[in-house]
Amino acid sequence: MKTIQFTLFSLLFLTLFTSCSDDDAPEIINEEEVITDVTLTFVNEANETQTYTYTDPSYRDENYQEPVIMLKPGSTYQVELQFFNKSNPQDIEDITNEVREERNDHFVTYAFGQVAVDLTRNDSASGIDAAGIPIGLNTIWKTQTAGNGTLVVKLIHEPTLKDVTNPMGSFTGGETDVEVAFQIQIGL
Amino acid sequence: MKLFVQLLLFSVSYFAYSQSCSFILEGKVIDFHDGQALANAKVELLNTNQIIYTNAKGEFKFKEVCEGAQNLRVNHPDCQELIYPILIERNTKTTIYLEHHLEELEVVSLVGKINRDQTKSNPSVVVDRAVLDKHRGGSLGDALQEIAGVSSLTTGNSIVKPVIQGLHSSRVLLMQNNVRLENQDWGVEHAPSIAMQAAQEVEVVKGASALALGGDALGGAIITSPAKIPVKDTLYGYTGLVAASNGRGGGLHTQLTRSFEKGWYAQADASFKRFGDAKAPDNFLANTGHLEKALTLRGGLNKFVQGFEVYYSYYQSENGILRDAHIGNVSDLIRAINREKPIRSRDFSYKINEPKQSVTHHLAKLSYYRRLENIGKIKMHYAYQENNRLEYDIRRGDDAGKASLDLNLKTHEFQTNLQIDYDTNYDLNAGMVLTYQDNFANPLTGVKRLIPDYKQYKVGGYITGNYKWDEYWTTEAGLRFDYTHLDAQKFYLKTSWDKKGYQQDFSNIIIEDFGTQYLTNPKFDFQNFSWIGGLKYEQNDFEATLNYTRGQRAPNVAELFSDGLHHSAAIIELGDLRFKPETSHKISLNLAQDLNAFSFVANPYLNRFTDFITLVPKGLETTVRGAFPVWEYEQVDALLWGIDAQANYRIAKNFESQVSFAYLVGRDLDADNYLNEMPAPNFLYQLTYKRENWKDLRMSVQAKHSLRQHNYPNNNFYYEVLNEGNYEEVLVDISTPPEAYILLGFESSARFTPFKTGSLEVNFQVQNILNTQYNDYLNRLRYYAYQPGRNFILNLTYNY
Repeated sequence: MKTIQFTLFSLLFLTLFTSCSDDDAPEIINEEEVITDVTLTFVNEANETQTYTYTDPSYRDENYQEPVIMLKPGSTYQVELQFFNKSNPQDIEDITNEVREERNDHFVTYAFGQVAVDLTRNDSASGIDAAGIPIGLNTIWKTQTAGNGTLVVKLIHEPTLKDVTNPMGSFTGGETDVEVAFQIQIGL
Repeated sequence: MKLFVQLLLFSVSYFAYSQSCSFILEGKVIDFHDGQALANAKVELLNTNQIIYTNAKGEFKFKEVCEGAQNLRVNHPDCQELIYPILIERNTKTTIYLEHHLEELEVVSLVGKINRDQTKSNPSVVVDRAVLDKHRGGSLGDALQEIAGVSSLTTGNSIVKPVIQGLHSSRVLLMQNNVRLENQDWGVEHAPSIAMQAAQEVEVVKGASALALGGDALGGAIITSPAKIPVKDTLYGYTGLVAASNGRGGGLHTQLTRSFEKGWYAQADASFKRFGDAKAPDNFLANTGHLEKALTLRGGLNKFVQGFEVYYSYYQSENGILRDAHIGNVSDLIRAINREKPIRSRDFSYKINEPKQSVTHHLAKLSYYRRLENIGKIKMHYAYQENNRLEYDIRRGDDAGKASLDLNLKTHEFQTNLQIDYDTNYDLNAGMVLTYQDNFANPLTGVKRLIPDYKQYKVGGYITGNYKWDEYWTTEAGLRFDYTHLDAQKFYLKTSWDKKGYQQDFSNIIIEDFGTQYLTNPKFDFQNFSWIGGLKYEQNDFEATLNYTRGQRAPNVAELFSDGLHHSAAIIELGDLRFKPETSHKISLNLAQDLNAFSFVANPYLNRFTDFITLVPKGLETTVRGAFPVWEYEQVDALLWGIDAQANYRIAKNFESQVSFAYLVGRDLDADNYLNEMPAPNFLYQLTYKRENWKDLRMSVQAKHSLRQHNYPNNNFYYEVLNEGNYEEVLVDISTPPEAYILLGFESSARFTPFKTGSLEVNFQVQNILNTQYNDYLNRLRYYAYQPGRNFILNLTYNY
């Protein structure tokens, strides 16, 4: 009885051991959701376009240079904010569309450090949520005096409260999907 | 009370006597389970006036026994009365085996009983049935917390991880019906896949001294096993119902057992539990509901000489994670720490939304044992386990509702153990374990794998033994060797690969270049040696044990491979491929005195580690999502020392008081600093009124007093926040432990017999009577919300 049982056990064990030894290589995962790049596109009164992109440190290549936004004092700019997933260089995804689709759950805030910029929200219908709040993907900037400083752009997911009393935007609750700092130089 | 006899005629001596009433009947009364002789058993030869008590060796002898069919009646305090028929034709020698009371563990006592099954020199603590019953609506971790020296590391209120003398996760081994539970135990927010409602016998060993279970349980082992099934023709079962006000939930549990006199048995056990949002004193904790389903089926043959069992258990749980705890980065953490709690108040709901986790565990086991005459017992089993862990985050777009983590862990285990115990003075145990494990991380999540695909092979062998020198002294020694081979396939982002400096050391393991990522094939071989030596002295009501254990644990997959963001903690965790096994040297002394009205247990210990793997803060890292603190796993020298103590005093006939205490200090010797997340000193006071002769009535008041942890590492940091156009340095206080707290509780239970058969146990309790607002240092979500408030719990169990 015992020997039979033992043999059965060993056989079972050996079968399982061998049947499980497949050597399939794991599939690569190119993250679908991750935002790797944040782009600000500026169009001035003369209809000239400037583009600045911040790339996540994990996805930078050798040629990457920290973006420095160069603006002129006393000027007005149409500014568009975009988010991209470039984790798979063969398949660049524009995440901005998803943000627009889920505009009720998203909110963008801007904060300037050491430089003064007048900002107004200028979202089209696809950027205005059910409560009538422009979520901040399109803005108009009016620069004032010259100076150097920073801009912090945040994309917030599922805030409990969005407040645009100050057009820079403030919120409570939610979690941060994007928080990047750009250098700004307002000069002549 | 059930009992059972197995008869073995070892030798029969034959002498012809002319007189029919002068035969000699001698024998021995033995505990069926451990083969120990039962002293002081009352043996009565029926229809005569002959009564004899067995001696210290369990022996008895009747000198004038008549020829023909005779009956012996055997009584022992631990066992139920047994009528033992025997045919006398000559001088006869017999061995009588007595079965323990089935309700052995149901005996209501407040102290966890000390047991010596696992090791002689490092006693384990058996959790009382009353304590288990009390926590049927909670989790295993909640029940274990009542043992001095065991605390809980929690993620919210339903994910509760046991901590033994400061150690947890991969350092605490969980055994379910003799099988090592393989359930992704490396994660701090991974609770054991064990249904509390169905837990029947639970035992805790502090330290790695139970070598037969594993040499790597540097914290200790938690052993859960199903109740013993009596060998008699019977059908019995019970159904339990638990309802709790906090979380407005409850559970149902039922068990049915059928057994036969020939040893065959079958048992089915099913439980279900559902809770909605828990409530802190002032508000509901949004998304903290949980759901649990469990099923166990087992059947087999249980004979004295041999037996087998087929066992299957299924466990499924779903746990909501506090919605407020889902944060993005350091800025969110600052807002969370500084804001009024909670931010997201909502009405009560049973719905479990993201973030949540869902765990399914299957365990199938086939086991066989045989007693070998004049040697001992051989046991073997094969077990297959499958653990599927799904974690859901709050996601965007098409990915919403899709799991962010989907791990499938399959484990095959074969174990065999030979116990040599024919001589009452020594006991030898030798065995081996073979394990094969396959982890698959589903790529369909679309999220970088936290844990890679891997295959792991383990071979372990051990030998332990103890020798009883005389009636006072016993010595113990043991040795275990484990070999682990780990073969993983892991993707690394090139940036993090370079940052860890792997290009120099591991460039040979790269198998493919995918542009931004490398596919690598890390392989490891770990050899672990563990050994123990121990001494026990016992005299009447006093016992002292001294134990030295050297244990060794191979680094787990999280410690080796972590390289990314840990969402719930908002930290970046980095593992290291260069790790070697960590080693613990633990000395533990256990003193126990049990006088009539007073008893105490004290257990001071010292645990010295080399290459202790711990997370160390390494500054901030900026990503597109903002800044995150970086924590790297490092190997350091560490020292943990402390004392667990408990005392009981019977104040009056029906009044008992109890106090237990645990104190622990953990030091990182390399950094000359305290270790993170060590349990705060705590007291548990209890006053109980018992009236066994009136419905088994029991009432008790309890106070849990947790002091403030003063011995903690200060990992606070400053972060620059842009405020009104200017940057400000803001202190991020992640380290300061919460204030001390005292929780009052009340518990009462009684047993009624309202129906013709069976009995009804009623248990009513109130937790956190004063609705105290508090936070616990070992709650990972303490920054976001307070602990649950007052809770009324009613527990009904009908035994039939």
